[in-house]
Amino acid sequence: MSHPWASALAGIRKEKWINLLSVLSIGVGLFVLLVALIAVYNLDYFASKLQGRFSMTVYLQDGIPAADLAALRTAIRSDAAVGRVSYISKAEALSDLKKALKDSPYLFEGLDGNPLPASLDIRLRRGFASDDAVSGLASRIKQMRGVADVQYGAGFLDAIESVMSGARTAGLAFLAALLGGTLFICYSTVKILFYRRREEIETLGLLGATPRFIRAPFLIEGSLLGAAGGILASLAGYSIFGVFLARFAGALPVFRYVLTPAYFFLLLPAAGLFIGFSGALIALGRIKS
Amino acid sequence: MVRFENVSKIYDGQEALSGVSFEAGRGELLFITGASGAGKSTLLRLIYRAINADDGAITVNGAAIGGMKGRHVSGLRRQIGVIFQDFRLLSGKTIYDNVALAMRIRGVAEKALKPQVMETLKMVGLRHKADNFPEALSGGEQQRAVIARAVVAEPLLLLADEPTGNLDPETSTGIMRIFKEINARGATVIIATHNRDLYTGSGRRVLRLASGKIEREDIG
Repeated sequence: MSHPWASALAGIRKEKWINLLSVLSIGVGLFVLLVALIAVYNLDYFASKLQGRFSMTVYLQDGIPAADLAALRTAIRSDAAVGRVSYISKAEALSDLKKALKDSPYLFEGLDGNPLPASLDIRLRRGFASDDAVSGLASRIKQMRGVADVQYGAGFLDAIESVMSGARTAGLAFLAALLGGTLFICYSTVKILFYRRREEIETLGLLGATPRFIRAPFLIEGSLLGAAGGILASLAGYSIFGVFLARFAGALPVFRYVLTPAYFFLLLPAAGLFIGFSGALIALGRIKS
Repeated sequence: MVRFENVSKIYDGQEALSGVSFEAGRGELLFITGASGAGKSTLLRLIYRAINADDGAITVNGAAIGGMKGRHVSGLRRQIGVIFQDFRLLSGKTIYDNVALAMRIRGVAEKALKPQVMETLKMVGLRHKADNFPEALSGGEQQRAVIARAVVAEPLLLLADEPTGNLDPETSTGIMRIFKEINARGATVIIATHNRDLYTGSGRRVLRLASGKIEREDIG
């Protein structure tokens, strides 16, 4: 085994309690990071789902000629924001309404003819579902021949977007704070180890060791502690999420829809290693001869 | 090999060395003597750049070390073997590893260093203590371990600060024999000592320091 590795492993064994405490602290930090990451991921996913379900209804003038209707559909379909356009005839509209109000058939008694207009149901492409894009599209459609009215949930997309961006910002700030905290744990651990071994480090310097020779075991030690914390967080997350989601999905069906991407768990040890290495690097700073 | 020109060092307003000039030639064995506080350790510490001179110029192996940058200082120290007065053995490492460290620092591969480390430990009579930690050794044994660490890589220059301070007369003689052997192989050896027995009758140059100045130069 090469000197830096042997020295790092000996250092870990020698200061096992400090190191164990650090691994636990890093593990807890990374676990909370994982929970926050999963929360932000799910929030983002469900918001994009909601946006995908957004639709706009274009009510048509009664008696619109077939050629005008075809031209209107072509014009609407050519808009970059439009994903799908479905035609709902007057008869389909009435039948849908009757189905929806099947428990109150008296509402349709004495109805003379079909008062409902034909319409076009427009689904937007993902990424175009913003209030600005939708209101621009609605005003363009309103100008077209054969259109009686355009209706959509004005303000709905903006509400989703503002809730989402707020949650995303708060989530990212939280993630950054946690990352900073975990980094600080690694920094402090290596700094403590460095101070506890400062006499040894001074001797190494006097014997002619280069800063790289002195640093290497500490960087390995920091990286190993970070990676161990990451593995711990990953294992804890995997078992806790598995048990938690399975147990609570029965009582609260919403948990059935919580997504826990596998790569999050795989990324944690790598993230721990990176944080450990960076923390150690900052803690060591510049070693003077 | 080592050249001091008008070198002064001041600690807290007090001159530890004052206008010291001397030269130690390549392959020379030189003694620096004087009472405690005369400046012997300061002189040695200046050579391996543990401290900087406040005035004057120091040249080691042809290089002026005054304005040397970090990585060059490491390089300078790798040419020098130092026997520290306070030993500076690493308590968490075995005697073998303490001695091997000097080779590892010089980038010697693990396979290549083992025979040389064991041979050096044998030379100082510590082969049987290779797996012991420093705290398990007596003061004299620790001193011999430090000597082994200083000489294992066969440095160009060997500096010894009171190398027989903790040794009985018999062991001191043995240690002196090691220094002579290292010196015979071509290394320059500078020994700071107040032990008169080490240099008396040696036939080598002896610089006597008093209050930070070279008081006189004799042949031992």
